[in-house]
Amino acid sequence: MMNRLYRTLAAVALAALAGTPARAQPVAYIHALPASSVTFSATQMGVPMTGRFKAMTAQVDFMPTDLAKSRITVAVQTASIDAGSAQTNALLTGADWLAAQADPQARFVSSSFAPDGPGRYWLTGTFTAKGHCQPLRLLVTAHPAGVTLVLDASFTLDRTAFALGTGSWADTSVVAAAIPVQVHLVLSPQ
Amino acid sequence: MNTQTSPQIARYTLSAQALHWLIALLIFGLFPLGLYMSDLPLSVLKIELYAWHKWFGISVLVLVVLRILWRLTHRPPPLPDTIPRWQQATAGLMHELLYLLMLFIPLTGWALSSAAGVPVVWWGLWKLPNLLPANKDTAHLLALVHATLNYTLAALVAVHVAAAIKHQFFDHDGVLLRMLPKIKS
Repeated sequence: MMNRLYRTLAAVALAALAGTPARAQPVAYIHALPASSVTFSATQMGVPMTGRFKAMTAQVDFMPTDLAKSRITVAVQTASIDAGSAQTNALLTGADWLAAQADPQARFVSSSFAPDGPGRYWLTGTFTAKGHCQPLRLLVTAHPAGVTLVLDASFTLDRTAFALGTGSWADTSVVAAAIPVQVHLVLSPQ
Repeated sequence: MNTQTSPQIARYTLSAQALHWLIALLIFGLFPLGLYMSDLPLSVLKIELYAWHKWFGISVLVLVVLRILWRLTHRPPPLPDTIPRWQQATAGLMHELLYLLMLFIPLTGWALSSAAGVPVVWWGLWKLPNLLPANKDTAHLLALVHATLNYTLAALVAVHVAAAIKHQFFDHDGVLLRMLPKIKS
């Protein structure tokens, strides 16, 4: 998620620099708009199923001209998971999966931003879910849309590394270990 | 009357017999499986049972299509003349209904899965196209249709089995033997 943001920010910065070199104020993006989303898919018995988090927050401080000071934090409220049915949501917020009561949030916090090309950034940070932390490196693409900047990143979460799906659910032949996650952030300029 | 051991009995071909008994076996497994799995709480077992139900159900669809092709290219062995005309006509109608149900039950199951937003991935390998867009109301309706067709099939299968038993053990007219391989004495 953060990688995407960083890339977007960087792309915006680069675009701003290229287009208006004389501009005094570098463009900074700070607000994530409601159009932002965190979606995922899980494969059960070979069937890809998609879902999303209805409640997400993103703190963005992105200056394409100053990547060192750019930061992205994206968090989802685990209780807001929507996998299509009330029965599935109840299961996923329960102790075997997200344990939403004990761990209400899953989040990515960026630590560094590196340019990878026009509109592309490598975002490094830490992903935390269900009390487990892992470093995460994301390729973020950024493209302007009107006055907003859109950042997109995707990564594959290994659910076994975060104890997502315990007990009988640990069987990765039923629900695959790989959970592709897509982060889509729509940012408005400061 | 005593033709059941006669070597002149006209039988279905071995491939037609194999299709009949294989589909019968699958139906006798799929029907109670479908009844059982739908009331289960969401669990690993439920996900596995649903997948197997769909995989075997699509297999029935494939086998039934083969069977219909067999029927289109073969004439089934005639019924004995001792069976009254009206019974022969009823049997014909019965078999047509069974074919229709065997075709439409897996199709409605497949459509139900599509409407429920869960594509069918046959044996976890081949993703079948969705027959319908995902829609909860449609899924609800199709679940009802799928169940109703199944109860209808169960009733007709009961009559079908009862008729086979009657012909074999009461009429002794060799009708059942048409669907069994010849055993050398």
